[in-house]
Amino acid sequence: MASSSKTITVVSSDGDEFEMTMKAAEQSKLITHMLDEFGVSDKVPLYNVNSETMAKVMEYCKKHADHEAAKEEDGGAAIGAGGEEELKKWDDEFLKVENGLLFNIILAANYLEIKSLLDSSCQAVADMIKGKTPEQIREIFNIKNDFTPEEEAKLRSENEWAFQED
Amino acid sequence: MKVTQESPSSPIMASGTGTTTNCEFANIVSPFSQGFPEPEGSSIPKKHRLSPRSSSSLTSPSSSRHHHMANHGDRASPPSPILPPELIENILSRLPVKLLLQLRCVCKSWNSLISDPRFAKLHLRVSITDRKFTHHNIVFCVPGPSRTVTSCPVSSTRERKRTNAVKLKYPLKRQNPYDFIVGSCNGLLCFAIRPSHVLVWNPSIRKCKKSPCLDYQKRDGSYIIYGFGCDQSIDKYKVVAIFCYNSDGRGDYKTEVSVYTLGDDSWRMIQEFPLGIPYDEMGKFVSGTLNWVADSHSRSSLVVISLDLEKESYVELPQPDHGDGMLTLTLGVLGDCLAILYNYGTRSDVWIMKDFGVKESWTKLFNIPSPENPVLLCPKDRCISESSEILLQDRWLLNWYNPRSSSFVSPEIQCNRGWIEAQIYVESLISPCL
Repeated sequence: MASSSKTITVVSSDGDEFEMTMKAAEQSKLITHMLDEFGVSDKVPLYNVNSETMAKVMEYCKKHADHEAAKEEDGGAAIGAGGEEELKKWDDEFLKVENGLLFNIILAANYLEIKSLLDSSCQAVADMIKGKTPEQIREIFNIKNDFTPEEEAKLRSENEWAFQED
Repeated sequence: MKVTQESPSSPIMASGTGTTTNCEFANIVSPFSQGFPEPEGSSIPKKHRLSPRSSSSLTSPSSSRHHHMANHGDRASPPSPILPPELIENILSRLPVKLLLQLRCVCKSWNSLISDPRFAKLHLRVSITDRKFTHHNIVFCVPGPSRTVTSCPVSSTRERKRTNAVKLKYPLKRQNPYDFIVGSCNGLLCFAIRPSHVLVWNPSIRKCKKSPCLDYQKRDGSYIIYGFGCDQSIDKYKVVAIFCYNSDGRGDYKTEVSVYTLGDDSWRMIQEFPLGIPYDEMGKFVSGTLNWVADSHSRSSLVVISLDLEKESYVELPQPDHGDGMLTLTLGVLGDCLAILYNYGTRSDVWIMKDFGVKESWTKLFNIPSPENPVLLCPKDRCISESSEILLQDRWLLNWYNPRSSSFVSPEIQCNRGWIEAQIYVESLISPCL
């Protein structure tokens, strides 16, 4: 497996340092941009991401970088038809974390501009929302209900049918 | 300690940077920066912090070891970080319409977001590009004394052999047996209501709008051909009515064309049909135009006439060189391209115009080995290739045709026996009421 000998170091908000290969770093548009602007020798400060989240993001970038490298090798034979499916399954398992961390992953993916991770993690939250009541959703998103009971009742009655089973 | 939601000042959502919504979001920062005691296991990144914190003031990633059960009181887990509006929007745009209507109750800012026409368009874009047609349905009209309209998801006709169609609540009380579907666009269905109205209805949000009366002089042998689409330049939906009448009793037909722009209080007359008379097929909407097959005596052939909905002017579209022996042709929309189906008796050839209006871009996709004149239903709105499966309507049978294996699979759909019309539509939040 062709591996880049170059690695870069990123620093989390907790001050922890993480090493990643160039190929893994390319998964993030922000990191790529920062490296273009400032060069690879310095440590890249990513002070909007804490260590717990950073560790997960590192894992994701490495996995996806390895997958891309394997695709390039042998013209994709190494991956095969099931390869994309397998990666998707890996992504699904990867995102089975508690909500706080999942939300932090979304924020990090947004900040670091890792589109595929942003899409997968937002989809994971969307899938989680299905089947939940508004009250449960308020808990998940840490939202306060600012409707008065009358306002909420009026809103519900406008779309009463939407609250019923088909 | 238990984190309650009362103490911080209305933590609805932090305002994100670069937000482009019209909604009012409370302009607050994370409650933790207001001196709220950080609970154990806090791992909230802060957008505003620029310098690293020493690890002693933040606990280690112990929260990942908590077994978080979202439905319980969560005494041990910290609340999730607040997501900015654009990320909430990203998540919500992936949800089905029915659920989104429920979620309007969550809080005022979610209500504003979900009710915003801008969000409806974002949600539509996401639904349309879904590869598995998760948000597309087929609507059926079942005639009878109490005419019913039913619907079932497109995806389940592919995955399962047997599907249940559910009855939709047709908004008008009286259903004339001669009412029919004109077309669908962005989740809006257009029905022709005899004798002189049209109805634009979004069954997913249960909103509808009836047009004003179309004034025309009914004569013997006259008929109206319609088309429904969107004028993307002003983002308004238009219904076109082509009144075809026999002007002198000799078989020489003329047309009067009127347009109803959703939201207007009357129909407007525009230029008449330039060449020939449209066939008995509703207009097909693609690339901002409505397209009909027309019968031209002066050409003694079938031509394709395209009406640009923005300019409200017509062009004749060039057809591909399809060879001889053609019996008839029908139009369709496959993916986001205009499609022509040429019927040669034992087979039909399907061509698509990859670049609208460009003759050289006509590409023959495949042929369908069938003597029937199938109606091309799906896929709509997204890319199609030579090997894409397509959904056909053959009289009163639906068939998924696989061009690679030349095979047909007929899905069995319950609860809509005797249907005579079918139309694909996407579930959307687009409202016909302005």
